Amino acid sequence: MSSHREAPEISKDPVADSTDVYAFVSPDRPDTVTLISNYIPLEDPAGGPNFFEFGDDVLYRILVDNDGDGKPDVTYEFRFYNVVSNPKTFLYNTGQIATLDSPSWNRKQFYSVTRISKGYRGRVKIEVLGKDLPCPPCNIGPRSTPNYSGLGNAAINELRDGTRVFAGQRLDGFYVDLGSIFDLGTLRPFQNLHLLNMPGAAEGVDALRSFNVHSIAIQVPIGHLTRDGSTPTDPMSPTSVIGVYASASRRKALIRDDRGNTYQTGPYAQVSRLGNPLFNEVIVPMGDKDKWNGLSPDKDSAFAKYVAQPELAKLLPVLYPGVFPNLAAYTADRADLLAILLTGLPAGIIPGFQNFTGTTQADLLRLNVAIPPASNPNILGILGGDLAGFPNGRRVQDDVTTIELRAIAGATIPLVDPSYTPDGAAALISDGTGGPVVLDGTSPPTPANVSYLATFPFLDHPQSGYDTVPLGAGAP
Amino acid sequence: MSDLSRRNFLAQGAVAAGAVVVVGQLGDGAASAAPQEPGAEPGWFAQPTASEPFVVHIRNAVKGEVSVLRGEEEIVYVDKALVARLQRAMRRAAW
Repeated sequence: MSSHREAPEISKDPVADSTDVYAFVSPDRPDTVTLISNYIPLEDPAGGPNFFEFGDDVLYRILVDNDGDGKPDVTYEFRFYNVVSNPKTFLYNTGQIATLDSPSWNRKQFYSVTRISKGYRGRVKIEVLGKDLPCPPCNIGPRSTPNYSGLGNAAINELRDGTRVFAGQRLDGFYVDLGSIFDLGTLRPFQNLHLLNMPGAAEGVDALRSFNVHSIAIQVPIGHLTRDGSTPTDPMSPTSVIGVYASASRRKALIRDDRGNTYQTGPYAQVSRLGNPLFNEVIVPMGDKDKWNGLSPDKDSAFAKYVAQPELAKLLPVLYPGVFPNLAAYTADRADLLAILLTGLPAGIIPGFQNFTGTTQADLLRLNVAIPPASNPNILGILGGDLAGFPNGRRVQDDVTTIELRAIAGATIPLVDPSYTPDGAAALISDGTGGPVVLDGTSPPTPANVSYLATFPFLDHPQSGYDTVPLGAGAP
Repeated sequence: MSDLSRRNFLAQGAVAAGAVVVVGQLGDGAASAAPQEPGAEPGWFAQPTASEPFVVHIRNAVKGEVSVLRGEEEIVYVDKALVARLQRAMRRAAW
């Protein structure tokens, strides 16, 4: 998964587990950037009576580095609290929830948004952009939340500085064939070529199609994120590139008494972070994953060795004998992956494009904000010739699994090493969730069951508990 | 946690890997001159009240290194005498 349950410790702490991060120039307001961070992987929509919510003891952050040092220059903090109307019932709602202030909704959640940036003479500037902002309820079902889209849309908050924010349950927009990939690296479209082959190629299965997540989405004027406060128009200008990541932090001390009460205190310690999809999940080995989650991106040079010699690139030729001979013979450090994931692509590699942030190696989702939204997006992003898609930031619909599989399989080596010829399979490899394998390099469709909104917050309304049939039981 | 006294807490044997954790009330001037721990994340919201419980973590009993966590702050200082008193209290509680 992009980063669902990607490390041993955070897999035990879902409300703090960052699952996906998105950053893109907003197609509905091209003078803004939309930043989204998802938490709580694999939410079963029927998971009541205590339906999912953000942690009121977790500090959520979306962080932006705009000067290339791997450290945040602009940070948005999100803090949540709950209001229980009637503690004497076990019910989440005692009637229909028609509005966000419905008295029938028993457990409401609210949050604040704080912006931290550099102020006058480098001093820290702290602005509370919004307080007591309402989250929507979870999508329970047609009797409890009959007009869910109305509730979801009502929870989009306009803040005083031109920022727009939403925090609440959404349909998980990420799609991946988990059941196949984690079954010894199988990719269903190519399972007949696997070392332990199974007859009959098949379409991929989107393992997330029955699940929701909790999203924090914020749409910010571009000038609020760039180093000089400008809205750049030249893609080749260093000012045009920002690096984005998200984190979750918990208080250092937790004390439990013998009556079920807890007490937390002390500063916040980071327990989860996410920049590029799949970085901690696929690149960082098991023994270092928890450590990686606790560090700032400016410390990521310690993990560059795993990018330079990725384990998966060594496994592919073993799992698919004879399919990746050129990849098997390539022993040099993967300068292509080091650039894509840790420094950004410098000028001169892709005409009219760069998202280079300097020599500091840091896992950041790098977005060139001078690249306008695509009128006809290709979910293969830059690999599909669409400069507005991953790895130039990441849009909600981008097929990052296929993009990264192809990159790791060698498709991007010629960007930095023209003497290398990728294996034919490198341009075809996919987990198959984007529909049938496309042989002509055009954009495959996203899975039929995944949908998105055309406007903020872009991730679609969540599936309801009543309507969702679990995966494997005849799910639509 | 209001019913969790220092004595009760110690009696529950909250000891791990040579560390002692204490919940109590911050006395005047305690550790006030100690430096902020490098790397601690700054907090902007929670301001501790005088009545708010706090946690003392003996980070290194041999060195007498004491960490005090209160509100969103953490201070670290060395107080071998305090650590020795706490260890004596632990031994008494164990009896």
